[in-house]
Amino acid sequence: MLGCLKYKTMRISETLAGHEWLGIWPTISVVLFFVIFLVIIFQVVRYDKSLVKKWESMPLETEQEFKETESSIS
Amino acid sequence: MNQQKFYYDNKIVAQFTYATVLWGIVGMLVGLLAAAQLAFPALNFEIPYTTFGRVRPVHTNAIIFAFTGNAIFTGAYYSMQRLLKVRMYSDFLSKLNFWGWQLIIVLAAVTLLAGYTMGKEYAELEWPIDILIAVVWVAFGWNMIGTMIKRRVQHIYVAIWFFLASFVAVAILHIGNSIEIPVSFLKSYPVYAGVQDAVVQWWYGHNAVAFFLTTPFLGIMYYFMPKAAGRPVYSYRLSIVHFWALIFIYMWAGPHHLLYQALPDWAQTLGVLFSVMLIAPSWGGMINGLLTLRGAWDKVRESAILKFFVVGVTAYGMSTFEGPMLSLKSVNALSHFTDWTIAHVHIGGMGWNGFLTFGMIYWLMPKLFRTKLASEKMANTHFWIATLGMLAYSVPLYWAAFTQTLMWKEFTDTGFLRYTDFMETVTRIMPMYYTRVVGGTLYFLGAILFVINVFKTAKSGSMEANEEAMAPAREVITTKKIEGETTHRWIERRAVRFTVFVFIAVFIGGMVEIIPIIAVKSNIPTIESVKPYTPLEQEGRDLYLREGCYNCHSQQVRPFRSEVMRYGEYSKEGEFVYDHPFQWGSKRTGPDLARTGYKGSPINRNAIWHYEHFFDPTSKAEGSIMPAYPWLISDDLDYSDLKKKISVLRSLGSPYPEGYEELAEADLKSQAEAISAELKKAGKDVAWNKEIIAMIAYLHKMGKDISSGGETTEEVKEEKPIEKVDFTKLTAEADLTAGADIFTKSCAVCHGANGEGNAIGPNLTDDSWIHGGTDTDIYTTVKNGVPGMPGFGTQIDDSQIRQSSSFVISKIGSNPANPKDPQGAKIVR
Repeated sequence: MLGCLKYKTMRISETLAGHEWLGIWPTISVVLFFVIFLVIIFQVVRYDKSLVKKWESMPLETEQEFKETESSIS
Repeated sequence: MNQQKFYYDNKIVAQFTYATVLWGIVGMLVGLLAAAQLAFPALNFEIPYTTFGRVRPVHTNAIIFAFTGNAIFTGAYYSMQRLLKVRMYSDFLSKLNFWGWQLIIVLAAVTLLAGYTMGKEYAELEWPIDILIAVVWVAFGWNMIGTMIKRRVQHIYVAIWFFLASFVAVAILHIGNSIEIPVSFLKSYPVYAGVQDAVVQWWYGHNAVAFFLTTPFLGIMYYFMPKAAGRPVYSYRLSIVHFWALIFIYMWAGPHHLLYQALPDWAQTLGVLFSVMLIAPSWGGMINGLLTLRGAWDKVRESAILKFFVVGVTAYGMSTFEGPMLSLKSVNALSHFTDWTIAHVHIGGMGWNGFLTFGMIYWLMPKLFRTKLASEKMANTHFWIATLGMLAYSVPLYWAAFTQTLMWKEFTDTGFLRYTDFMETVTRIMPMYYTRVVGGTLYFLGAILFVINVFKTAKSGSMEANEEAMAPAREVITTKKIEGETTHRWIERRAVRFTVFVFIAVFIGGMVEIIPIIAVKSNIPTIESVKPYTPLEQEGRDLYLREGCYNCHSQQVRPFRSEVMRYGEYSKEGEFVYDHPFQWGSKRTGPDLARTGYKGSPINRNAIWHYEHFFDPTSKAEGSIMPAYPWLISDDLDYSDLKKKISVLRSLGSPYPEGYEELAEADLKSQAEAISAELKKAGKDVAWNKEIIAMIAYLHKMGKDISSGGETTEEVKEEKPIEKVDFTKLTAEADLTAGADIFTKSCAVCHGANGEGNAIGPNLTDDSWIHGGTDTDIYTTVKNGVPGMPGFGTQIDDSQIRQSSSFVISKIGSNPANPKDPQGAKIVR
């Protein structure tokens, strides 16, 4: 099993080693993150208001329970 | 609509609740013992199974995996059934999850105390238990995803996303970090070595915090806080954004545990950058939690549950601000290896995880047992005691950390370390260690009230094992993209697809950092002089792991002037290539040990010193809080697995020649006999096959290979009584002038220009003397030297020694400026 591990790492090192790719590594990462981040924000903002309303009240289940909880802690 | 009847499984929730309560008490009690051991070392009891090095991993594992682990299952099993309107996917998997997890906990406690450990923090458990953890964890995930698939509602509520992400990430982390090659049933070596092992371990360790202590508790927060407050979460949109941001960013931040250490710079930078970015999604979660109480703040006054939630979420906010701050290199230079880390994790552990768990169970018990909480007043008392306890625990530790780190780094005007003796920095923080025990005790007492309350509540009601519920029949959940819906909506709708995307988000960060370090050779420059461990040294290293030395000692000298002066040459990546596992440590309760075999290091000690120190640490360092290890001296070294160890290590890259297995035992014996012979010279009769011999061999290996010159550690000298020759001081002016010249050249550097003393040597002009103050004593000291001072008998001739000694004697009582405080005994001349 170990033999195969070594073999694989050799292959990756042959592809990646020895160039200035290291410097660009963090840059790619940050760009990648911000793109994904912006896409998600964009989509979330576009969500239908009534849907969000429905989703966020899921833990409260029913109107009944909502009131029960209300009275149990007040 | 077509209503369907089904039953919630409440029994499994109650079982996890009981387990949480039980292991919480056990984990806290063990933690209290560990804290008390640092304050009162006698509590180590001088037996292997109760020493700090083994007790502390039991505490961390019990709190993380037993207490909060069971709390996660409690929260997940209760909320998922209700949010998805369905019973858990499989009762069998639920049971397997419960009993398997409890079995793991028991096995963990037993093996850790018995000394079976991987030596990697929070991943200490040996390979058979690792496999068991993987099986049980997959059972949990399978059960969860199965439940999601057969759900009766369209949308999966955000709390479940967090549980799902936790499952996916912990599975990746656990498997990735636990790839190890067994030597025997309870001993294995990780496939990674040195720097690679460090990166993988802290990728794991950091994200164990992220995906075991953070995301599942956010899931708990998103379900139970709206429940307790009676209003929906503040912003559902924010919860979606901060979910993705959190699981994506967290995975990159691991290297902040290795700043200034032997790790490529780019990896450190990446770790810092993403740690700072983490503050945004973390605070997104905190704000969302706290603002859920909008319009309900008045209830906090009465409700203990809400009090626990509010302070818990606030503690989360504090920890997640402090975390990024500690990841800044300048702050980390001060905080790392000190009690700052311990204080930080206890705000998170006691505040966030503890308080959320208490709040959740106080809310849950009356629901499960269809009754009221036995005593709201007792719960409120618990809250106040626990809050006080948390403060009394952490504030002294912050204080201890600031004090100690500044002492470690303080220099005198002349450029020497102000506190050369590590012990000075330990004795100074002892009062804080006592206070910490008081804080821990308070927190524990609060938890006792919690147990009583839970028990009484259970007794006053009755549990419905299968609670009846009604819900509309399953809606059709299409796989295709509905027109007009966003991609995100499409991803989240299907359980398996959603899991795959979570997997990708979590996977990217880890791989970006780990693959290059494992794959690219140039990242870890090799050092030719670094040799693999000899059989005896390797056995010694395994003892070092067994005793959990890494809990208190680091093996990593950072490139700071203060550390290089205290320990010796700073650590390089290439030194660790044969370390399976790495042992860099993360706390210096005692000094760093990376240079114990390095020639010229101030912490290099000979064999007899180590022998006496292990037998009774206080005999070598007054006030030491290190436990004694008498069994190392009395027990025989078990090297029965040596052959297997050699072949496993060779397969992992240690260049032992083929067939070395057959020679290893003879090599071990001859090296051990040499150390045994050395100890004999000093009158200690220790057989070569005792454990202490291997331990000494290992301690003398660390740093040895990068020392210039072959021989490293001073040999034990045969003890010959020093001959004292009676000496009468010279009084002639010419002799004293000559003596003054010699003094300026040879003595002033350590004793000051006028003999007033400095950071190195004592004051020679007062009436206190460390090595005797008669004329003959002073002459003997100059001639033969004393520990810490060379003898000048070999450098200058006897007449010059007489002249310089006479000059020193003539200066007694001269009251120079800036005198050093008296040391030693007063001598009436």
